[in-house]
Amino acid sequence: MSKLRFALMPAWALAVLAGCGQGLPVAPASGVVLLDGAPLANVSIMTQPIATNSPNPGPGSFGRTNAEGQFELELVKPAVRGAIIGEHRVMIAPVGEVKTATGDKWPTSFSDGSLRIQVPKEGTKELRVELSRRMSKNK
Amino acid sequence: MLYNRGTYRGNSGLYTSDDTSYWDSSGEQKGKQYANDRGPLPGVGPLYLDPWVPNPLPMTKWCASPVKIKQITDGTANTVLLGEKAHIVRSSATIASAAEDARRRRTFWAYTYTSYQRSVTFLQTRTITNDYARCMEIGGPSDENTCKRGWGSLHPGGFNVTMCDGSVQFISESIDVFLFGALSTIANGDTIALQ
Repeated sequence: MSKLRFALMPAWALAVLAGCGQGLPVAPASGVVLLDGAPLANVSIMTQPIATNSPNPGPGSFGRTNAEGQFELELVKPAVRGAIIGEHRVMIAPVGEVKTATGDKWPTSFSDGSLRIQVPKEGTKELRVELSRRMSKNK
Repeated sequence: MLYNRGTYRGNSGLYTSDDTSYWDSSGEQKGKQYANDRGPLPGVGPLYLDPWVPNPLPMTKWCASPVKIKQITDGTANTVLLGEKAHIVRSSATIASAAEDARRRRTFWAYTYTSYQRSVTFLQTRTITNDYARCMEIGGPSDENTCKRGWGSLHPGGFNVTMCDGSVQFISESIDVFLFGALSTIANGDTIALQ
């Protein structure tokens, strides 16, 4: 059935779908990660849209911060810029085996999915993921 | 020498940043405190560090027991028993070893060591992609372990799993991986069903 529908689709529609994440509701999403108000460089960001009405909200996105703590999200699959529109869990983790200066374990609360971001329909460049050492004392 | 490759694996459980365990050998089942995050098929029996060399550890050490059906308190219909694990083998512009890694890390039932027979669910979307090179390129927490121990198939859009009650479900690549993670544990208190 879905194969048939696909075959009947005009070529321009296929081109449009291929260009914007195969019909997935994706919007451009970028922003900054801060630790106690200061930019956090070279950390990995993973996001996962949260299941609400359907168990299948769409694939997550990923990014990495630059020296200014800035990141841009890209969909895991297909490889297009942006993230699924809606609320996401956010996981922040060091890239590779990085230990903090004091030898602390990376705080669980930074990467257990408790952080959230919202990707609006029109996209955003203003995402802010704010971490604090205080919340890291939780575990 | 040529070997036949498998396309499905046992579910050893859920990897979280709390328990940091892949559950695929007895040695992984250290503290009891997170044992509820195990799947129905964690590594059991004596721990073999490398099956090709004599075991340096006493046979009784790290000898975890198989999961009993009564321990699956999340419900047998809500817990994944087996799932597909097959992935595309291709090279990568940024990671030189990607094709060779993808080839080596396919499912292989004759090798009990680490992840060849078992996968574990990570709370990252790349753990359910069938593109090994893409998974490595994305990187992130647990590095390539998330790719080795993931799930996927060569048919479009997702992969099949068998639940502990014998039913079969199709898991979409668009699933919320936290939901799939909940389906991976035997006793995490999450009695979430897909329908």
